[in-house]
Amino acid sequence: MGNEAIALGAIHSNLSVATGYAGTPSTEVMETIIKEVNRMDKINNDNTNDNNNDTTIYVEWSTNEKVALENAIGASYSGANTIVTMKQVGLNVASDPLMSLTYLGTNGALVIVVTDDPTPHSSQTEQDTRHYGSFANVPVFDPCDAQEAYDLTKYAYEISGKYKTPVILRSTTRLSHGYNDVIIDKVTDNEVIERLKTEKSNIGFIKDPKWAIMPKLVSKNHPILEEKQLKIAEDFSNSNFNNITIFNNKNTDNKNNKKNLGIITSGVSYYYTLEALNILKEDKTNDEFQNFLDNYNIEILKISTPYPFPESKVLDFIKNNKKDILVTVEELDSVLEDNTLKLIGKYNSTINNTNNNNLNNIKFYGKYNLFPKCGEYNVDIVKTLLNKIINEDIEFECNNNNNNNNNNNNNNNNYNNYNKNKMGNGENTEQEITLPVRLPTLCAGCMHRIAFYAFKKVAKEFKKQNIETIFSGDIGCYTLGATPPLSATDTCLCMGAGISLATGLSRVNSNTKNIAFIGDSTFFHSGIPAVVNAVYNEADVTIVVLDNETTAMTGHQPHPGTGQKARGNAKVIDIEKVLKSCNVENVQTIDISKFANIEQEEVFNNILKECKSSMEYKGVSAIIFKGDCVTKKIPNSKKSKAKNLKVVIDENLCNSCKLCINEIGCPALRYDSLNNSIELLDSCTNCGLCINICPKGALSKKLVF
Amino acid sequence: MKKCDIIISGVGGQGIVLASRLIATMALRKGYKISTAETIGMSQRGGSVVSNLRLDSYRKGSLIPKGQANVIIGFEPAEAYRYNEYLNKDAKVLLNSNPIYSSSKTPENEIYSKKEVIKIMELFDKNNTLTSCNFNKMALEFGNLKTMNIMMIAIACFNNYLPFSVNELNNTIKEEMPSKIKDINLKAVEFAINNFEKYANINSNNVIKI
Ligand code: SF4
Ligand code: SF4
Repeated sequence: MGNEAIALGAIHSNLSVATGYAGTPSTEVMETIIKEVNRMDKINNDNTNDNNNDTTIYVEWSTNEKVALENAIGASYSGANTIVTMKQVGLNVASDPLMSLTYLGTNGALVIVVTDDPTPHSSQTEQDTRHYGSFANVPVFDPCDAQEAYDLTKYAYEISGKYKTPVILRSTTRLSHGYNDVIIDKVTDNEVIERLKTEKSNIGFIKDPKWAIMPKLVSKNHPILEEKQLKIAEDFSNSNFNNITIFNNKNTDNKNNKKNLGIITSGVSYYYTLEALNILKEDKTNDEFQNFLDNYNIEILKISTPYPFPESKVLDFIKNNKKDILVTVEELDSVLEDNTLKLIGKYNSTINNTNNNNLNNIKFYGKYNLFPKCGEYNVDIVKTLLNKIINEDIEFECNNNNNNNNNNNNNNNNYNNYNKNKMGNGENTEQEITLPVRLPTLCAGCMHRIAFYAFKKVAKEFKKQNIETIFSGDIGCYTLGATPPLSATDTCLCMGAGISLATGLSRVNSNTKNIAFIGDSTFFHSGIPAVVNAVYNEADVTIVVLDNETTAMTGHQPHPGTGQKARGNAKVIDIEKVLKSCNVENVQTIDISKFANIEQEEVFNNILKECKSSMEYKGVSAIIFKGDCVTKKIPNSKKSKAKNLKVVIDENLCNSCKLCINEIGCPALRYDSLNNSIELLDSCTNCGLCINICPKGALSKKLVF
Repeated sequence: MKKCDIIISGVGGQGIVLASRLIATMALRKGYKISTAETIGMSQRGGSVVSNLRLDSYRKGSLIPKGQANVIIGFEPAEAYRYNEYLNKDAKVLLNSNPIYSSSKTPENEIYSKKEVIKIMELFDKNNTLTSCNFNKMALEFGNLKTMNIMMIAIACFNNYLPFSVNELNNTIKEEMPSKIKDINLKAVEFAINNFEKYANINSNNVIKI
């Protein structure tokens, strides 16, 4: 896995301190380091899970990305090699220390792993982390597969150590979550441990004014920082990671008669490009391309270090076999494209007068005229567009001969054509088959469903008195509370924003109830400052902490409410106590696990009562729903309190009104259109929520032995 | 070494990710270069899951382009059919005929039923080499539904859908799997091969039954 390769690359670069906050697709970097550390401690016969001894890499799941980075910075100032991991939106949280750090520089190497998520598969944004490079003057490394992720991580440590600068190792979903075979260094565990020992003996903070940021120091350091970028760009230009692949080199002798096509690409797009060209090459029915192959040289330049842009390398690439057509292929933003265009402009203005070698008549294709700016790429997209470029060029040649050249028009047409293609209309054959839609939804038996449903029900009562309820959600599993039929999320923005948004809403929406849902990990991440603000500024909101005692969405990482650290146990920080100490006076805790017992109705009515009273409370109130995440339990385990209780459906009582499905949307309930009946699927956890909904009493709990 | 692009698709919780890792391990042992990608929905359970597995002697991106896949191992009929356009003309289809219905409230889900499953099987049978079998029933009779994934791999090897023999599969299980689950998996492989006929959906007269 790409993420595992990054982790191993870091460990083999004498890593001492690793911090991070979980976020898909970055999470496995930290998880791999933790696993490796645990394994090596076993070899060391050290089962203390003590994080601070000489032969152990210190690992930590921090409460948020800013905290993670600041911790690593402290360690780096002391000479330790460090890694910080997060997803792209996490870097926004950590951008404050990053922007300042770059002026001071580091001591031990500091590599920030940031994973982007084109499409996005599981993120709030499609932002491109490469921009942080030029924004913050931080070198960026952008590997194309797991092997390069391993090698480039080691190179990132080298550059960070050499130039005393923080660096960003950027990955994308396909790399982070893709698997390749990887050849790694032959380092034994003992060697790693020995190296770590020597490394750690040299670590120690040395006081120096250079570690304290002051306006004067910044203005002194800024020119040095800019200078550094030029040097690093030169290093990058000479590096083997930015390399050229010659795609068709037959008939090399009459090369001079041929025209030249250059493709500049990076990351997984490099492979998409190679494969797209290969498919076109093998497609003997594609005359245009075969023709093209005979008349053009195609060269591909892969850029694995997008910032500082390796200018000399790219310039050589353009000038060598002077390119007639240049194409940039990259996911998300036009970083390579912008830099190449900039370079061509710069080169033309300096060279133009002294020799005739100007680059004005290069045809350039990128995101401005052809490639999509949004979403993930794949071979099919790249193939279609390369084919288009080739066709256009052949057409252009013909048109040119006919003195009929309207290039602008051509480009516009292409873009329109592309958009049509992308819709994929007419591509699907045999659509007479109806495939099921598997919407993301809260798991069957998920405790969050009970909380959402209870508040929806109480909100209905308020509605009768003409009081509207606004639900603010947050980022985590419980974001799925937004999907119908629960639809209990009216706003959702970013980690920890639910409480502050609800507070803001409450200021300008009179006669409303404002509820903020937040998860336990998110509460610690950045919920607490919002609580303090709401209380201190006397807002009227209800905070609902959905506490399943884990960071469920990313795979059950610990947080300060769990009693666990990345390694070993810790003292729990109690959410109820935190809320109370922030002066939230009305705090209730509801134990959801009680819900699964036989006095269903009574328990549920109690929940409703609690919800109602906390919504009625003037000021900041809070309810904590505490329970287990169903995915944490071993499937089919009989651990549950209701171990002999099974939810059953009585087909004689059920009139197929579908109310149970329409109200809570539990994935364990299904309407069977063939038999006009309700089916209880295997995934039912017997949580019992649906029993409270059926007006006919068709759903009930039965004792089974 | 002949390239083999494999799509494994199904529903979250069926063991797709593990199945694809096992095939990748066999490929590594044979000296293939591999790259795999898993696309998993936001919902951890009950969502569509697809794994792309590429075995080749060259490095490649992990996503299989349309019309290129040689084999699809479909853990669920609709989830297999979803990737129909990724199959090449000679692609082989191994299908678990046991449908998993989705409960999200959409008109499609109310329609998706046994009828649709039969249509899917007929289309696969017409256009591709299809082997289909109720692997859920098979695994349940064996006594452990969770071994369904290994049974599908066993049949894929047995029918020459994958470039590995049953022997190679057994050796990989023996040498690479944790001892706790080694035996049950080896037994599951044997059971699948011996009882395959019993659960097959297409009999010798080419009649589809499910
Ligand atoms: S008891 Fe009802 S609500 Fe709970 S998991 Fe089963 S079907 Fe879903
Ligand atoms: S709510 Fe009750 S009566 Fe209506 S469909 Fe569900 S089980 Fe049947």
